[in-house]
Amino acid sequence: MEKKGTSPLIFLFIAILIASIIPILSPPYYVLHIVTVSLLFAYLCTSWALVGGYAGQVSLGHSAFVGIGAYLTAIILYRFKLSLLLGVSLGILTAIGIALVLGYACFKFGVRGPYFTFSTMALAEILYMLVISRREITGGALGIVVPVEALRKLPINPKIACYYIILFMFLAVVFLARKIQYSKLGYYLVAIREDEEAAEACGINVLKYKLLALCLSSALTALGGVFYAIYYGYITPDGVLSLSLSFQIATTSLVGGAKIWFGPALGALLVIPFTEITRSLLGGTFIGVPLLLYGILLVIVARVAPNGIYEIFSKYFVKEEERG
Amino acid sequence: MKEIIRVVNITKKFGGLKALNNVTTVLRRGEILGLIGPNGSGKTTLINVISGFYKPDAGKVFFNGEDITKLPPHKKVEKGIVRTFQLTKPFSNLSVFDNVMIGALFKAKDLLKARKKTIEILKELKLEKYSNMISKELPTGIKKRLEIARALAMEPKVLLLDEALAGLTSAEIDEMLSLIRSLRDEKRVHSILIVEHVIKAVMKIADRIIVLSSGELIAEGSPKEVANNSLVREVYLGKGEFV
Repeated sequence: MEKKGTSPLIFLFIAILIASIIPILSPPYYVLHIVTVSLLFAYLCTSWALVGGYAGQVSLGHSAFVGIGAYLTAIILYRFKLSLLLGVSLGILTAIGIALVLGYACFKFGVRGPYFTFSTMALAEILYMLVISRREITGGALGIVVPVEALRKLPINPKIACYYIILFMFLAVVFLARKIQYSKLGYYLVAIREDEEAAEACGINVLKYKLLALCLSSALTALGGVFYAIYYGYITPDGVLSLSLSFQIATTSLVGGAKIWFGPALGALLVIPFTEITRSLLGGTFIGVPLLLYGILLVIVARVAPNGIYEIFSKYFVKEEERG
Repeated sequence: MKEIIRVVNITKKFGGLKALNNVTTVLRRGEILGLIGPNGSGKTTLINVISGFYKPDAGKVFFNGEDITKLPPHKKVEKGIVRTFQLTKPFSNLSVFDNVMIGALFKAKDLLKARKKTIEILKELKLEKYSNMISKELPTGIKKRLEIARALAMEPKVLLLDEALAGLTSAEIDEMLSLIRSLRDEKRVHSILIVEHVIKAVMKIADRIIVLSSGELIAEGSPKEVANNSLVREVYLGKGEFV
């Protein structure tokens, strides 16, 4: 964990400066949208990495938590006309509750590795089915609108407001991830990722720390889901509860490098604009080509930097090694 | 001498196989206890039971008179019972430094103190020059030493060493033996249980020896007594590795 050379913090700082003036330049709506979505994914991927990267408990069902945050907010606002704050807290608490149940059931009884991953996928699928079937509450497959009065009352454009909100959320989660990485908790999670038995022999309460990582990650992801709902103003089960969203969060995080605090954000800020732009340029005429390009990108990254793009980044720009 | 760990009537079955059958023994304060026995005699199983990795089917484990049979491994570490693994289990993708650091974090209040402790331990075990090496790339002898370094960083009261000498060269064995002896003599740890295949080495270092065969305790006594025990000789006969 030697720290030498330029810290990625400096790059982050420059990025923040640029990011914070983007709306002032009044870019086309589409550009602002891509940056917002990229930041949202950077946020989601960093949250995912706390459990999927640091603790090595790969979840392919994180859309479940996005969905919980998004749907509870939507239902609270649309069906019950209650406050956004209630939606946020309910979303986060429910996510923690479900993460606790899933995590305890898996971690306590030795459901590890791929089997844990399957369990997370099952969770997302169950919630998907639930939302589809309870049409009177959730709007079913057609989705549900998310009326956010508070946002409309603001003096600035709601989209710009959203942009600053997600920028703030992104920065907060990245700094949290960094803080955790260089703390006792960070060491413990890495120990668990490397070898659970050895971690236990080092006096680490493996069950407790795995649960902690999962709950933290789920809560943050649910908050991301809340933002998703507010930003789009309309959510569907295919949008927020699909396996493809789960895969996208996990793969983007891994492409960037899930074992280091700035990896997932790096991945998202490179990959999401890439996929968004290719989709808008090619998606209409050549259906499937954007996905093909994304696949090629994944293969290249897997070949060149199997631990994530951050490796290349570290080699040429900064020296902040993951551990040792 | 006061006892520190007592195992009473421990039985552990794997399917139909009794890996441990009604084993009762004590580890006393200040002693180095050798645990020997042929392959599959239940040595590692006993370590696993004491350290909490296995729950015994019957019997109890006491630590300073307190029943600790059902505690999970990390709780036993809190009591001061720390083990090493026969097949070394370093955190493979981490450096030697970080491996020891994770051990040191168990007692240290903050990262700075843990770092300090780590540097001390690495120096003491002559691992400084490997400090930045990734542990999966280490040779066996160094890996074994790393296991002990990590265990020591946790400041244990009782150290359970599972075949810490296996796979070492004779020079490395001598070095390791003097290290183990010094740990006890300098009162770094109260007691050491050393499970070993290299019997000659154990004979040199242990105050007392217990012998397991097919899960049963067949002999107990000073190295000399055990070496002259006819049952023990029978178990080992023909192996040519006995003293």
